[in-house]
Amino acid sequence: MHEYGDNPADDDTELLARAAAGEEPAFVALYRRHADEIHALALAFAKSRSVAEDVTQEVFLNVLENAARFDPAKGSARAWLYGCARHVVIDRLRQARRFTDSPPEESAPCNNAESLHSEQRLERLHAAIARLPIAYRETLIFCELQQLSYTEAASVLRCPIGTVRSRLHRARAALAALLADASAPATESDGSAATSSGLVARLGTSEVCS
Amino acid sequence: MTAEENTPTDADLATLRAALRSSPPPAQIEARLRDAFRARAGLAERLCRPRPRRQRWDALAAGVGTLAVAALVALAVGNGLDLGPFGRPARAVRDAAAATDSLAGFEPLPYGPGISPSATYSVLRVRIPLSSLTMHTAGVDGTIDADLLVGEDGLASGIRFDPASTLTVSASQ
Repeated sequence: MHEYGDNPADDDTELLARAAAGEEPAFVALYRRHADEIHALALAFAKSRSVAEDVTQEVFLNVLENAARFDPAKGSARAWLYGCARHVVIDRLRQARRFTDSPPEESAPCNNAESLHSEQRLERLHAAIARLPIAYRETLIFCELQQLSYTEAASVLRCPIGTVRSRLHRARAALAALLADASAPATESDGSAATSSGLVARLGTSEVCS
Repeated sequence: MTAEENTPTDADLATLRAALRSSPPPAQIEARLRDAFRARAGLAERLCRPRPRRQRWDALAAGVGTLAVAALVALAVGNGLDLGPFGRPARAVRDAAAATDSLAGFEPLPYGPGISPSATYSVLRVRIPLSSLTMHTAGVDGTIDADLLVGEDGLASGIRFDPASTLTVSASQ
């Protein structure tokens, strides 16, 4: 029996078209193919599982409503999905005023020192990403965590590819500064904190691409 | 900690990527989305399903009726016809051609444009409360049917009381 999504020929564009035509298996296949990455994207932005779940659901409800409007000439279905997710998650973040970092909702228990160190390092990294201005944060998340190509990221972010490259470079630099700030001892951190804050503030003047 | 340690490596980012993807969305989301899909598909089917023939004729009749009522209201109100003294809505509009054939019996209204045999009129049946005819009917309750002769400019030109209408009169004193 043929299952939607198992066949490579069932590409996203075709699944979207079939979902728009009312074929539930196509919609479910599309969901199963992309739900994890949309959920991970929302989690990367929001650092909140409940927000990530809400965003995932809302994105696919939007797919339900707007699948017929998808135009393959304007970009890939994956980029379209990511673009939709980006708008939903940024709207949600604006509503919740979660542009700044916040403590993680859940922390996995650590059994040993090495694991604890790794978890802490990971948590610092995620917290530092959450402190980046939104334009740089989304570029870093799309390119580094979601592994979109520059072309795909430019399509999702509606920016020129050069803008994506330069933002990614600056985002990495700012991330390093924020991590240095977070890891420095309190007595030594004043200077580095000022440096990283100034860097982030300068980056923060950039506007999000439409 | 050195600056090199602070720089996020590809390995760090890969670890974070894996951690983010390690918790898939709960199954309830898929179930909810399936429900939403079915609800939407069901609604679309109901909207697209052709109506039975009789329902379509009923809808057509209702539409024609609505248009007729709208035309009546537009004629009576929109064209500036002053129904104030009569105080009751129109009951019917007769065919203008038939009306011009039977102008007999219509009396020109005071301050009206007068009745012209060459003009086209519509006849508007109204029921007038006798109390509005203040000159000779003071203290008398009841109504009388009358035809108003309405010109193309919307002004009432003449009036004809219907001799066949039943005059209901009751003395209030």
